Amino acid sequence: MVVRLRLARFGARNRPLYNIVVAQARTARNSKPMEVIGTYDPIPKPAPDGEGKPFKDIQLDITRAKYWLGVGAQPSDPVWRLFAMFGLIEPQWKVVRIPAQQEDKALYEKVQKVKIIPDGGPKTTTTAKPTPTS
Amino acid sequence: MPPRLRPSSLPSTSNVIPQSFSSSPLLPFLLPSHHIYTVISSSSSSSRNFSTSKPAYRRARGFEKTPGTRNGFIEWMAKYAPRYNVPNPTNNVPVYMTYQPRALPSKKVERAPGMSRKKAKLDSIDWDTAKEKSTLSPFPGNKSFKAHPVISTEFREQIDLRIKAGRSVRRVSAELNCELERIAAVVRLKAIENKWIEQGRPLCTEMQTRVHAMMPVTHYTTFPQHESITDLRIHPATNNQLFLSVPESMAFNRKDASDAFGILPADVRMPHSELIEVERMKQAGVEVHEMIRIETERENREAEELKEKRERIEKRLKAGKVVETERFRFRLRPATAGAVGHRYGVPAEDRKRGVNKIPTRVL
Repeated sequence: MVVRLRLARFGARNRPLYNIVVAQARTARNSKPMEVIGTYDPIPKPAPDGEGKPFKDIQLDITRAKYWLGVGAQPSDPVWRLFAMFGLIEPQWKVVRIPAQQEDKALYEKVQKVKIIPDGGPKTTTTAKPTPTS
Repeated sequence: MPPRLRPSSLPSTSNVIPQSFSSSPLLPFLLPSHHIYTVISSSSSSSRNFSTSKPAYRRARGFEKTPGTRNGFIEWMAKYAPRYNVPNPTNNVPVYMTYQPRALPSKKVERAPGMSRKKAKLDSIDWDTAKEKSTLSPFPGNKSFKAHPVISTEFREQIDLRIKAGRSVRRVSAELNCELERIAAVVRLKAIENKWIEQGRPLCTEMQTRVHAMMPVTHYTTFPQHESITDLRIHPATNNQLFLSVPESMAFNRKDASDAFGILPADVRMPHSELIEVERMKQAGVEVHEMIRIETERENREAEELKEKRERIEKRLKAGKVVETERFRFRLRPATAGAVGHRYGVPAEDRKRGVNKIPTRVL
């Protein structure tokens, strides 16, 4: 059986709180895990200084997390995202905004004051032909 | 053309520092805000005589093509390389100072019997004149290269003294007519230098000496004039044309233009935008003491705002490592496995039959 790093939901209705746990993949969500290595509070709290973005708290035992990753435990997608923030693993994906239409692009750039950089991924030798839709 | 605020060329009697006062060695500390006074502009060489922004063709193409570099190099070698043969120039004149397009100045020296022609020729070179006449540039063969002067060691020490006296970088920059970035760089480098001195590491002063010999140097004077401090860099947003229809009767000023581009107005983006107010006050005939008071007030206010901002940031960072995303800040805190997390094996008995929900004891 696979050992997974995943979230276990606690808290009450509409007030989730998560434990970051190490558990066998096929056990129930809230069953007793092999180890609890952190918590994640997904409900944003207002910023402490009263200005800026609201914050979310993540607690993590980094040493244990590294150990479990090292022995091949598989993080779930949300845990992957949290671990990427700690710099333990590469982010799985980056959020890329795709403007709906080409006209919107200029407007978006002006409003956001950023340049949309075309995809800088690896160049493929063959370009896939768009299939005719109608 | 970026807006420049030039100091008034004609000093008025009211705000020129009296001679006795200006000769005081404590001048930098006596002057509360030097830039309020009219600065008597010295030579034109003190101000930068070229634009720091990239020229249009470099902005457009991103690189500069130098045609015939190899040919140019070969020509250069043919012209100047023989001068490398000078074995030991007297008066510590570096060899590169002698790369003048014209022949080296010579003086009459009688050739002693038995002396070789080559030796006699070398002896006849007038190094003092060569040093005076030499173009102070690392590339003297390149006429179009304008070397910007570097600040002297004393100038640098004066900057450091003022910063140590608790003045802001902005104010020191205005006082010494030296760009904000340069002052900031001096502050950082001085910190490194002090650290090195503490550690007993050798300082690389040789490099400095050589560079100072090669470049034009601005020396510290009573009214230092190193460069124009109000140059406005070209904003990349303004590189593209923008067509905007405005009513004929509407006055279209710098602020409107910046609104159209979606950037801050030039008066705000400019380094030392506070000097605009000073200049306005000067034109309105406000007294010097009054100007100093207003300026000091503004400085104190800005310092307080900055302090508050830093405290806020520090408070935020103290809460743990922070990762900022588009909508939220994630506060990352270290924890210990075993001590962290919500507990297992503790049943919630809040709905169990026969368990008293109303507390019967007061703790």
